[in-house]
Amino acid sequence: MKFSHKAYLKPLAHATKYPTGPVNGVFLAETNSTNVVDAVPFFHFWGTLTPMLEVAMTQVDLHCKTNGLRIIGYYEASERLEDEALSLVGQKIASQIHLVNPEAFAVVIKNRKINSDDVAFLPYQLKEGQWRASKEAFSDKNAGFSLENSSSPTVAAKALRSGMSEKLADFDNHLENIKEDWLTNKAIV
Amino acid sequence: MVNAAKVLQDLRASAERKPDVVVRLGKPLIESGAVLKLDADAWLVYEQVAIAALDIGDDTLAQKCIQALETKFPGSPRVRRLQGMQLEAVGKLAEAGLIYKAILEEDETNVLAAKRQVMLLRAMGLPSEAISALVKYLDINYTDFEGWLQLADLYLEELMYAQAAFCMEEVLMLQPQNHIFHLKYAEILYTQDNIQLALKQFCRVVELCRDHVRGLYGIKMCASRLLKAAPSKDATVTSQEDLEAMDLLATERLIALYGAPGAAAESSKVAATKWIETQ
Repeated sequence: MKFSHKAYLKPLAHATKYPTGPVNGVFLAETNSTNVVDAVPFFHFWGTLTPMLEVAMTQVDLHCKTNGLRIIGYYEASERLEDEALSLVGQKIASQIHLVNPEAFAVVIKNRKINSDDVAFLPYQLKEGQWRASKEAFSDKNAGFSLENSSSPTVAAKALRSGMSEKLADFDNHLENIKEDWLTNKAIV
Repeated sequence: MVNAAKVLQDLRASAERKPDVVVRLGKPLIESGAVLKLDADAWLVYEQVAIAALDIGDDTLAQKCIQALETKFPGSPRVRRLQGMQLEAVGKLAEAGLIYKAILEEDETNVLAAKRQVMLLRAMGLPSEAISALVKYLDINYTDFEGWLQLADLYLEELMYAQAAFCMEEVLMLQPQNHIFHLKYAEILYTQDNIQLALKQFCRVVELCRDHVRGLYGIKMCASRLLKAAPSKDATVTSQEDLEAMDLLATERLIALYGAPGAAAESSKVAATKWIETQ
């Protein structure tokens, strides 16, 4: 999985915009490759409730079909600084994505690494029915996770420090004001 | 100067959590001493900025505010609660717990300390204990709807939907006109697969708040699911005609809202319209 700058930045912007609560969303890849080209932020409240999750997943799916993309993964960030476990709800959502797409992975954001030059993603993969963390994922060339731009963390951290997260719109924002561009977030990139 | 004080006052009234705004506006007031011109409100501002400063990690500013409050109100439980929060902010959870315990030993009805104690247990990774403590608090303070809301959230974190639903029922008894509480209750019911009741609650949301998008989505989700299921012979459930009418209403309103010129980004509009058509 190779993450574009956009796909790296948006989840971190989502986490930074709502530091006091959990956030989640999905990753999109090109239909025929493992280039993770984008991320779509979903929720920052009521993350354990299902109706709007169903709406969001269906609409992202429709968006993907229109744009030659597919849902390839799930991300989340915990409001607890040190928490790097994939939540129960996260496991359920990631498993659902995995049913359709066996390449699917999950990412938990390493909160402590958001403002740093290090990769702030901790990938999880489904192995023998369990979601297991791949701690060396980005440093081990064989693990299959990389950044398109090795400078993404540094560039992202700088952009976040300048307050760019305020411009990010997630599905919760969209439901409150349908003008919010949650699917493409053109204002961010 | 007047504007900053007004914004801070509005934020105190709405109880929104915007620590960056509070610190940005409050810090200059406090550091210049201008805050004292607000007379009695000055101490509310000190407290407000202290909490916001702890939220964003400006420990120096927090200490300055708490010190000022301690000097003005020595020994006050309200100030000691802030000192407890200060300890929480640097991870000294056990010590913070001792402060709250001491306050409650002096006055078992102290709401601020009782609430901090609940959230401290949660922060310590003890959700069952946090829930028990809050249930005990609500046994006495059963009209505290914010307490019931917080308990609902604690249950939701544990995926205990039935218990969360019960809490929302208590909230709604106390705050029946708040459409957001009906919305939350509706979504919990949907998650529990109680689509009939969820539909009624989503309808209530739209009744209380016209053209509420999230509520309309909820109505459409419920109506279409119930229409797809086998028709029930039970006379108490919503009839097929009513379901079709509600589905139609939600569809029409969503199409109108998304279709208005400039209402939504192109990508949002395309996805939403396709979704509405295929539900």
